[in-house]
Amino acid sequence: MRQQLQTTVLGREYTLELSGTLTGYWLVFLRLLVGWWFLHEGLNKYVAPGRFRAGWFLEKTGTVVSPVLNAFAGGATEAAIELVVPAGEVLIGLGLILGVLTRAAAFFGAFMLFFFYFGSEHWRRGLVNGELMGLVLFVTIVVFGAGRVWGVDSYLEATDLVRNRPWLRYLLG
Amino acid sequence: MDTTPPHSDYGWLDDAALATGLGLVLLGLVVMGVVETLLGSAHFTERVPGLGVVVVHTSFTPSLRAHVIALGFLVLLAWGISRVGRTILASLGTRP
Repeated sequence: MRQQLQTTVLGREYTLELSGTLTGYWLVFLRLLVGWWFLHEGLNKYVAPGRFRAGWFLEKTGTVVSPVLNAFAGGATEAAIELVVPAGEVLIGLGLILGVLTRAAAFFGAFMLFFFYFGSEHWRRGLVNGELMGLVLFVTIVVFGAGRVWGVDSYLEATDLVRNRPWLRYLLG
Repeated sequence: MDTTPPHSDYGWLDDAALATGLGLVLLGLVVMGVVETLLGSAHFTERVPGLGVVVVHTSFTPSLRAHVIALGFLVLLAWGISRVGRTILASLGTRP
């Protein structure tokens, strides 16, 4: 089913013609793909030999995010980051695959990718690289949601809790 | 019960924030990338009194481009937070 979407961009009116069916298929595909990527990354950190270490990343200097990273280097904060990163990746992956709190999961995925991307010291792989593409994919899911298609968010959005609090939809699909 | 869609009230502030944020990301990635491609990423050395020999970068450094891109994403983040904040305030205001 094709749908006309009327919108205004910088004062000019436009009409977008979208196929609801194609959009639904593509968004759920995107959600599952990105979800598996992060779930796999997180699980891999638990099963791979040797504990996941974040020190090498947090101690980087000369990057855009170095002031933030360096503030967490060493001690209890570094240990906390080493716990949060794999757990966060697993939760983000599960959230996207199951379509639970889809936008919140995608936001935190974009948050992590922001640091992975801007944590580059020499940009040897250029400014358009895999991390940027990952960041853009997560932002795309934040924009479009996609948790309503084959996702738990479709049930959550029907609850009175969400109906009475429209802002909660920013966390859901 | 408020069933108003949360995206129904885009005003000039939203337009300005989206255009600025996305524009900065495109400036850092595409515009500076085109300039870099056309001009080349040339370096030459120059003797500066008191400093010795310094490397002069004639095009945009990757660090400058990264900062411009990061600024764009931060503008978008600030806009997103403001959207959620405004929606929460609006829903509080309409609640009896």
